[in-house]
Amino acid sequence: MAQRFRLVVYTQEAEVLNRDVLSVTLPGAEGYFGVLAHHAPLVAALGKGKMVIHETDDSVNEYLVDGGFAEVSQNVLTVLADKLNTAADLES
Amino acid sequence: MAENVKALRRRLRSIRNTKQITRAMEMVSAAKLRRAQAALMAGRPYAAKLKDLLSRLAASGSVAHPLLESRPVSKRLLVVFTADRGLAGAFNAQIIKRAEAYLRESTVPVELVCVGKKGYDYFKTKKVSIRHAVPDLGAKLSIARAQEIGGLLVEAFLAADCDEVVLLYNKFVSTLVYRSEFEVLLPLGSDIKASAEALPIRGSQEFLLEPSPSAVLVALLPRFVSNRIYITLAETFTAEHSARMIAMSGATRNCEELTEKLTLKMNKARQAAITKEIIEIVSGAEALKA
Repeated sequence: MAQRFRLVVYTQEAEVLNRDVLSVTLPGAEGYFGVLAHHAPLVAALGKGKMVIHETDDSVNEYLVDGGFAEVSQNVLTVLADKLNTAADLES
Repeated sequence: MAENVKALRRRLRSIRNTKQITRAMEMVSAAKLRRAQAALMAGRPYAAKLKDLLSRLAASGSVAHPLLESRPVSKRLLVVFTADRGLAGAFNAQIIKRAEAYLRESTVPVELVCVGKKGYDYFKTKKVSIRHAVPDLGAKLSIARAQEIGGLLVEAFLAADCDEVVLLYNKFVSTLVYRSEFEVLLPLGSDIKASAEALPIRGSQEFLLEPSPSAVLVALLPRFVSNRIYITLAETFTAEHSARMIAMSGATRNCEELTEKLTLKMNKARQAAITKEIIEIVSGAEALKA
């Protein structure tokens, strides 16, 4: 049974996501990295790429981010995204 | 004053129309206030988190960056936030008054950045140096706008065109209260260091910083500045709508009072006119009889 942790995503305008997840893959400034439960405390600058979320129901959601920061602390991953889009947003 | 019933009736009609307008403006402002307030509240978590990250970097000690450097102040930049439109009570007047006092009392030369038409319209005819103006905010809170203004301020500070950047804006306190405040934007530091000291010591948390402490800092700082401007704009808009709502509500009430007073006056005048006519008719009749 994979462990879950809280993912919170903010843009400057509002909170976009706030739920428990199993894992998150993020585009760091120098390459992708993954976050699982109980990750070591971290502050990372983000680049442009896909944020891939494995949900607690085993589904997968993807978002596009372009710059920002990610902080892991006390089993909470907080993402401050400059821009956040779902693939659907961009196709329209 | 006017014994003239017609004149009073005309005035009453005009006041009644005015009241309809002020009441409509009050309701529109109330709706805009609700939306602006929601936007302000929604934006606060990001801002708080950003400040948190910066404080943590500052606490870890490894921070040196030109934007954090305080140097002796020989020139200042004052960013004045007003609204584009008036009829907002003391909202714009208060900012302008405090800006003028600041300019007068400063021991060093001050340049202005005018955000919002009302401030710009006022200062452009005065003997002050306006470095930049954003006279058309369009009442829309936009990240791009905040970045544009933030970038300009950072540029001015780094180029040493100024040694201190101060914001003057109305802060939203509650639906009925807003307050004008000065805030030092650049150099960043005083409030960061203070909140760094206030950070709870979370066990022995040594944060991994990727790609490196200085890279994170370099990425954080401009975003922090533009986010501060974003929040300032959010506060300004919220305070503006609350100010206009209060002003229009007061205006509506004044119309109601005036309507009451003038209606009484009009009726008295009307009765006086009738009485006068009766007296004339009766005395005329008496004269004929005699």
